[in-house]
Amino acid sequence: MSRDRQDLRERIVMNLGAVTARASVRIVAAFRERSWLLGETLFPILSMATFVLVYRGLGAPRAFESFAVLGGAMIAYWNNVLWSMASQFFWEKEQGQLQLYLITPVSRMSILLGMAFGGMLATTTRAIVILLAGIFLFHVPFPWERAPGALGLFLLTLGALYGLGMILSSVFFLWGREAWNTVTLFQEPVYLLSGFYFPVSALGTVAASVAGFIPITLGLDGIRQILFGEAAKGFIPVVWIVPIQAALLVLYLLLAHRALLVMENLGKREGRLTIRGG
Amino acid sequence: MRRTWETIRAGAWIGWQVEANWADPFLFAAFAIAKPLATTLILFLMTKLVSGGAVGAEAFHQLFIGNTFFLYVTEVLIGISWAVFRDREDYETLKYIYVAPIRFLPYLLGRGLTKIGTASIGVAFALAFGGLVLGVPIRHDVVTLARLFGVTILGLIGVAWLGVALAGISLVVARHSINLNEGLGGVFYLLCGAVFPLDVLPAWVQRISLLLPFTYWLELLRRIVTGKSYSGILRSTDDGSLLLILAATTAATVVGGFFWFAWCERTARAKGLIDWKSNY
Amino acid sequence: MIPGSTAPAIETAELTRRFRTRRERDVEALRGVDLRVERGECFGLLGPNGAGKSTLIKILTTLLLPTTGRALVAGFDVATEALSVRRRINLVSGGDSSGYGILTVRETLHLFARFYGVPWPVARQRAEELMEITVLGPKADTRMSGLSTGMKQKVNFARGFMSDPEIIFLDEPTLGLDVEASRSIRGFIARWVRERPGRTVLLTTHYMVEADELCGRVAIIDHGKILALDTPMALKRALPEESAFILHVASAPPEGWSERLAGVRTALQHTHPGTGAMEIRLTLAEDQVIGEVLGTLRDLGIAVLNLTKQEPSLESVFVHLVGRGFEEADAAAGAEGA
Repeated sequence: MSRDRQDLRERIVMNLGAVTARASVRIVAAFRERSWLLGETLFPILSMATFVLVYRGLGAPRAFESFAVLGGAMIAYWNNVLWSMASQFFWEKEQGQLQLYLITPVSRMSILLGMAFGGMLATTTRAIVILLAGIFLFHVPFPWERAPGALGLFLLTLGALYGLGMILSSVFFLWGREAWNTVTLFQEPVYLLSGFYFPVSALGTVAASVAGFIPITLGLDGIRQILFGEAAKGFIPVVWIVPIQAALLVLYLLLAHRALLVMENLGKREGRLTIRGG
Repeated sequence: MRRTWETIRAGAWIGWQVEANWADPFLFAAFAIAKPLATTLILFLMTKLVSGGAVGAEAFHQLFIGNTFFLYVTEVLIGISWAVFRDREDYETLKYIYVAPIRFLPYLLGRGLTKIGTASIGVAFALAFGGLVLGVPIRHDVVTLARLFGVTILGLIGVAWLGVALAGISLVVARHSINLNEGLGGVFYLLCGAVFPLDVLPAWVQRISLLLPFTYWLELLRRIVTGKSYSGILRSTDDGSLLLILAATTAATVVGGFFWFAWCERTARAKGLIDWKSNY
Repeated sequence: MIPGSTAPAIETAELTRRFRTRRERDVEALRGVDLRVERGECFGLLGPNGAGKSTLIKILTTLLLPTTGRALVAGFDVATEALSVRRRINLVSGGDSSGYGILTVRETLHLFARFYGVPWPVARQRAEELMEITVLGPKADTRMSGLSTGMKQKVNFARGFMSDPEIIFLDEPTLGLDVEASRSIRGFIARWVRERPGRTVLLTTHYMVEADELCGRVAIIDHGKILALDTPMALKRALPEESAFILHVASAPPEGWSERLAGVRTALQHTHPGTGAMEIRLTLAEDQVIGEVLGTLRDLGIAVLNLTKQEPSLESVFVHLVGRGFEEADAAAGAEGA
C-alpha cells in the first residue's frame, strides 16, 4: 500500500475512533444517569398531545392530528442537532474541554458527529415514544406499510440536517454566549418555518421555498406525502424532494467542512477559541 | 426584610447581566420576540388551515391570549432552572452564593424577576402583533388595563413560586434534566388549556386542570382582554369567583413551592450536590 | 528546514501576539519572542502571571495564531500545518479540573487516547501505567465527579501522556496541587524525559523550585519578552551577587577576626532577633576559603552551630532582570489587567 493510501487509511480509522469515542460519552452516561428517561418520554408526549388537541379543539380532520405527531417526533431530531451538535462546542468551551479536542489530530466533524450520534439514543427514544403515543393513545392514523419509504427519506434528511448543524457549530469558535443565544433563537422559528405542526404549503410559496433550505422542511413534507398522500397537502412532489435533500446533504457537508476551518482560524486569529464565559 | 430585598435585587441584577450582556439590544429584543411570535404564527396557521382561510376566528383569539400569557410560565420555569444549572456547573458560582450570609430562596426569586421582565417584552410584542396584524380584538381601555395588570401580577406570583419549586428540583438532578422542567412546562400547557378549551380533555384530566392556578389565570385574562370566555366548563363561573379561586390556588402554590424547595435544598446539601458538575 | 525528527522540537522567530481589549487598546502579550528548544530537552519558561507564558503555549499548541512571526513545532508551522503539529503534541493545563463527571478515570484516559488513534491494547496498558505512576490506581473505576480537585488534576495530567507525544506542553502542571502531589508530578516528568530520549517537555511555571529541579534550560519571560535564556546554574552564576555562607555560632567572635583571612570579602554579623543566636554572613572569593574560616573560628574557641550556603535563586535572577519580585510582578500584572 502506498504511503498516501496508508496515511488516508490511518486517518479514516482515527476519525472513526473519534466518532465512537465521543458518542460513547453520551451513551455511557445515558445508561448510568437514567433520569433523562422521564424527560425524553413522558413530557414530549404531552407536548405532542397539546397540538393534537389543538386540532381536535378546532374540529380538524384526523389526518391533521398525524401532522402534529410526526412533527413532534421530528422536533426531537431538530433539537438533537441544535443542542447535541450545534451548541455543543459552546458547552465544551465553557467546561474548559474544547481545547483538548482542538489539539487532537482528528476532524472537528468527527467530534461533532460523535456528539450527535451519542445523543441519538435519547433522541430516537423520544421520537419513537411520541409516534407510538400518537398512534396508540390518540388513535392517530398511521399507514405502517408505507413506513420504509418514509424512513429512507428521513435518513437522507437527517444527514443534511447534521451538515447544517455542523455549520452552526462553527460559530462557537469565534463567539460564545451571544452565539449560543442566537442559535437558541432558531429553535421555535424553525418549528414554524419547517411546518412541524402543519403542512409547510400553508406558509405560501415564497416562505416555504426559503424554508426549504432547512433540510427538515422538505423532509417532513415528503415523509407526510409518502404516508398520507394528498391529505398531506404537500408543497412539492416527493420525486423532487429526494434529489433536493441529497443535494443539500452534499452541499451542507462541504460547507460545514469549510466553515469549521474558516471559523477555527478566525477564532485562533482573534484569540477567542478557548475563551470561557464570553 | 431589608437583607431579603437586597438579595432579591442582587439576584435580579445578576440575572439581567447574564441575560442581557451577550448581544446588542436589537439582537436581544429579537430573541425576546422570536419565540412568542413563532408560536403565535404556528397557531394562527393551524387555525387558518382548519378554518379554510377564515382569519379572525374567535377560536384563534382565545388560544392566542392563552398562548401569549403562557410565555411567562415557560420562561420562568425554564429560566430559573437554567440559572441553577449554569451557576452550579458553568460559572461555578452557586457554591459561593450559597455559602454567603444570604438566603438562597430570595436570590432565586430575584433571578425569576429577571425572567419575568424579559418575558414581558415578548408578551407585549405578541399582544401588539396579535392586535395590529392578526386582528385579535384586544380591549385596551383604562379599566381593562388596570384589571389586566392586577390579574397578571397575581398570576405571576404563582408562576414565580412554581419556578422556585422547579429550581429545587434542579438542585438535586443532573443538568440534562432541564428536559424535566421543559416537560413540566408542557404539562401545564396541556392541562391549563392554554391553546384549546378544557372541554376537549377527558373528565378526569379536567379535574386536575381545575387544581392549577394557571387555568383560572388564563381564563380571567381572556375575559378581560376579549370579553369572552373560552372553556365551557368555566363559563358559568363569574369573574369574582374566578379571581378568588386564582388567589387560593396561587397561595397553595406559594406554600407548596416554599416547602418543596426547602426539602430539595436540604437534600442537595445532604448529598453534596451544591457544587456538583454533571455535564457529559 | 525539512520537517522530521532532526528539526528542533520548538522554534519561534520574532513571534508576536497582540490582543485588542474592550477599551480598544492593543495589549502585546508576546513581543518578538525568539526561542529554540531542542529535542530531548526539558525546557522551562518562567515568569509571573500575565508574562505571556500561556499565550506562547496556546500558539505552539495551535489554539492561537500569532499576530506576526513564525512558530514551528517538530518542524511544522503551527499556522499552516496544524494537523501535523497536533499529531505530535499534547497539552496539560494546570489548575484544570475539567472532565466528564459521568466517566470513570480509566474511561476518561481511554477516551482521549482514541482521539490520537492509540490502539486499544496500547491505550489500556498505558492507562494502567499512568494510573499507577500518578497513584490513581485505586480510583481507576471512580467517576470523575467523585474525585477531589487534586485527583482530577492528576487525571488531566495523565491524560496528556496517553498519546505518548513527541512534545508535551505543561502549562503550570502543579498549580493548586499539594506538596506531595506536586512532588510526584515532578518526579514523573523527570522520569519521563529520562526514559524517553528525544521526547521534549516545555514547562511553564512560576515556581522556581520546579524549574530548577526539572529544566535543563530556562527562559525568563516578562511582559511578552524573553529576558534571559540559559541553564539555571548559568543564570544564577551570571548574577553580580555571590553565594553567601551563613554561620550560626555560639558566641560572638572578636572584632576584626576575619581581616586576617584574605579570601573573605565581607563578614556581617548580627544577633538574630528571634533566637538571640549569633549569625555571621560571609561572602568569599572562593568556596574553599570556608575551610580557613572554620579553622580560625575553632582556634578562637567559637563553636559553629550551623553552616549553610545560600545560592542565588532564580527569583534573584528574575529580580535582577526585571527589578521586582514575582509577587510584585503578579500584582502589577493584575493591576494592568484591571
